[in-house]
Amino acid sequence: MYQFPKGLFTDVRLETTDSTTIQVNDGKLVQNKNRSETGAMIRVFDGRRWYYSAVTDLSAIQAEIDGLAALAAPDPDIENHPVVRALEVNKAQELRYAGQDVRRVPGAQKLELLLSHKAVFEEFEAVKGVQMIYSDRHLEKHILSSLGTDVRFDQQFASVNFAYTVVGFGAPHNGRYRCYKTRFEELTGTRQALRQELVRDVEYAQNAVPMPAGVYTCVFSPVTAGVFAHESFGHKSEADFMIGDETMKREWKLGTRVGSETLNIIDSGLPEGSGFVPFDDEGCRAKETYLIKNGILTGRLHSALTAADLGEKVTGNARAMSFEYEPIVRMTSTYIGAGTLTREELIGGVEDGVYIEDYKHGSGMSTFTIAPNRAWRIRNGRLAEPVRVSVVSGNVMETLHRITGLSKEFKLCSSALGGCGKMEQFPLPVAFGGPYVRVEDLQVQ
Amino acid sequence: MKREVYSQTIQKTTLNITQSRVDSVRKNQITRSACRVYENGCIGISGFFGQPTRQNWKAAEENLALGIPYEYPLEEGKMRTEDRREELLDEKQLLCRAEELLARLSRRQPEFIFSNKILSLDITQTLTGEKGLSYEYRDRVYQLSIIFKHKSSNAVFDGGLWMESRRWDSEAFLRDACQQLDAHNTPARLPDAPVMPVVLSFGLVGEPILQGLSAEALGKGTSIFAGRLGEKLFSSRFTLFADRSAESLGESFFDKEGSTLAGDRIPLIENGVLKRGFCDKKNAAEFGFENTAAAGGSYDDVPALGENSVLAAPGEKTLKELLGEGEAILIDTMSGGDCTAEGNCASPVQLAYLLRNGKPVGRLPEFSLSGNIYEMFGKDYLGVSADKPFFDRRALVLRMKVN
Repeated sequence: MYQFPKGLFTDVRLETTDSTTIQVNDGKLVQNKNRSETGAMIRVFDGRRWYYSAVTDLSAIQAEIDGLAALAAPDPDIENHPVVRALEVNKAQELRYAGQDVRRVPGAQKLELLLSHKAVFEEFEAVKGVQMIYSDRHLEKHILSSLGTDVRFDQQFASVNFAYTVVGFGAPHNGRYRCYKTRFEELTGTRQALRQELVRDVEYAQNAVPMPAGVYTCVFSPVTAGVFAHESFGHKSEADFMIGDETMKREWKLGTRVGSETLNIIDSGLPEGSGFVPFDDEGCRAKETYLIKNGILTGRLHSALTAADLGEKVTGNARAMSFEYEPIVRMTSTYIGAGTLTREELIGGVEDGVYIEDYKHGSGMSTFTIAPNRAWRIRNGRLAEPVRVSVVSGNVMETLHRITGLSKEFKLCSSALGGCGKMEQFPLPVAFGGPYVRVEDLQVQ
Repeated sequence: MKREVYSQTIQKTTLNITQSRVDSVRKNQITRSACRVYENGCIGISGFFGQPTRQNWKAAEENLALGIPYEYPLEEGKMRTEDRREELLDEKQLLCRAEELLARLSRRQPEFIFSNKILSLDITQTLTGEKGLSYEYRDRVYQLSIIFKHKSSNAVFDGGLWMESRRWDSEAFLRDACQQLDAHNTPARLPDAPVMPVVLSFGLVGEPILQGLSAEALGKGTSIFAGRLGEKLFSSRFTLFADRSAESLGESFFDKEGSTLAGDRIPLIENGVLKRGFCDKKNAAEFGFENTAAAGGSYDDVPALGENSVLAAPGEKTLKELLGEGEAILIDTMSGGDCTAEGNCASPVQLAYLLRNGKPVGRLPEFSLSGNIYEMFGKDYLGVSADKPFFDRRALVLRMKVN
């Protein structure tokens, strides 16, 4: 298809994205658009430096390859360069959504689905500023390389998303409900789920009281446990921060105990959802990678560059936000493995603590934070009054040892809106989740 | 039927830095455009790469049939071209200057590893209409987004050296970077005082104020400032502008609806008084508010209320004069915090420096800050410096509780 120059590693990633966005604010249609974009990222590597170019004119790809090659210094032995040798060579076509493609669903049907939720909001007088969004996307990628890789695959979602404000009970409370599926036909039961969420938000807004600051045992719901796993540990498992850094290689030596014995943290591009990445953006197959197994540091996430630097294997985690960016090491679906307790048993073991049901945002460096959107006080092993908390925080490496219980109930959460940010590349779709998780001694503010 | 074309071209050269050297060069030049048609109180839009074709206009007309209301007057008979670019480096010059800068930085600070990006961002935005509307805006910004890590540190990274400007200034960057890195190598003790002057950017603590300034939220009563327009909520020293002037890098003088501001700025909060929220044509019509040229959205969206670029007005005192002889805290990295609906905010501070006489003298251990926004921008607000003491940025100073 393309003439790849001699003495250089070259790959081309073509992406075609078709998406629909419909937005209704307070019952009025404000957006209804179909977007179709095609572009390509070209990479050329001479063993010393990478040269990238993003193009939208596909007829210019060959000229762009030649232009980048002119900047590079060819190496006749490039195929034996450790980075090039670390790459998998795959040939596959996995178009999973052919026949169930969101593009075949008429726009009127998508709008009708969204508008069918309007009546639910009318049941709640205290709910104002209602924003309803239908969003879907079908993405097809085709990756070709000078090594012979030729993979074509697709990814897809359809979703409904609602944001609103509960007023009339003192301070306004912002709520949201989102449903993400991989096929349009799976978006069922969303009106009832939205109603339940609204009931919960109104109850919370009516009764929430400020939480006294202090150190408490906290129980995370699956979605907040997932944020914790992603922010606190997932980013530290991305091996690009270790390139050429001897301190980090010593500090993050595999086999080191980093958490309690019951703790498993896994990243995998295999489960369907917003972290589904059957092949990464270097054409390497998705894998299930245990980052922590039984509390022991077991693995990390790689691109070809980092795998070569650390003498390990690629893990299918070289990802780019779009054709405009080169792949870097990113998570896919990151989750804490399930435990053996029930949710009630977990909460039952807490005399005075906080249950964090939902979150606004999270972050994680040496200190992780979660800003709860809804939280409840736990008193004598039972959920008590709803509480307002600005931030829950803790030292990442200490907190992993303070996990004292994991439930057998487990949920992996996907989202159509937002995503993971890493420097310039935001938002990248990821999924996260886990069981209910009990953690001792967190700072609550 | 009335017609408009909105277009934006982003030309970027991005240098990736790994282990203190440039290991890749990326070129992007992408034009995204949208044809807009208006008829019978509705809008139809079609977005695409490149320049409009007959097919794009047809798609916009088809989109018109979906009945998306847009009943606001279009801009007509207005022409303005503004080119804010100052220094134009080509790719080779950029690479050469970046490599030289990194070499000098590494020589002067050999204990650190540098990574992340240096980029040149060239922006062109145009909005043209059939009835004499012709706006064109160009800008070029150099962004040095370098993160650093001490070679003995076990953190993913320790902190950042951020500078954004229209001119490449190696000397200014090296001066401020070395000042910060020298302080980083000197551990300091967190002062015992429960409340301290804190030096930071508005963006780190201003989010709850920005959320409250949405005209839509003000009009619908869902803002924390609902019903309080015209009230004095903050210190007389605090003025916050919606800003489309040259002071805001990369911010066009017109919004997505073609609205502009007289003098390219307008106060949202003036001398502590809540004057207006940021507003587009729709919310201006619906609630009778003043339009602040805040229509945003993606290139192919129906223009809708976004957030204005804001600028906290500088005072007449330099940072040194604002702080006097006492100690203060300079915030480098503060993330993960939030505020309750009452305006009570708290955040961990991942990296901060002790300031004496306005200069960073040592790296502080991790701590957290808290405060209430009405106090932080009220009795505890000291002001914004007249000078730009760190990386070509003004410093905002307020007192917060240190925990």
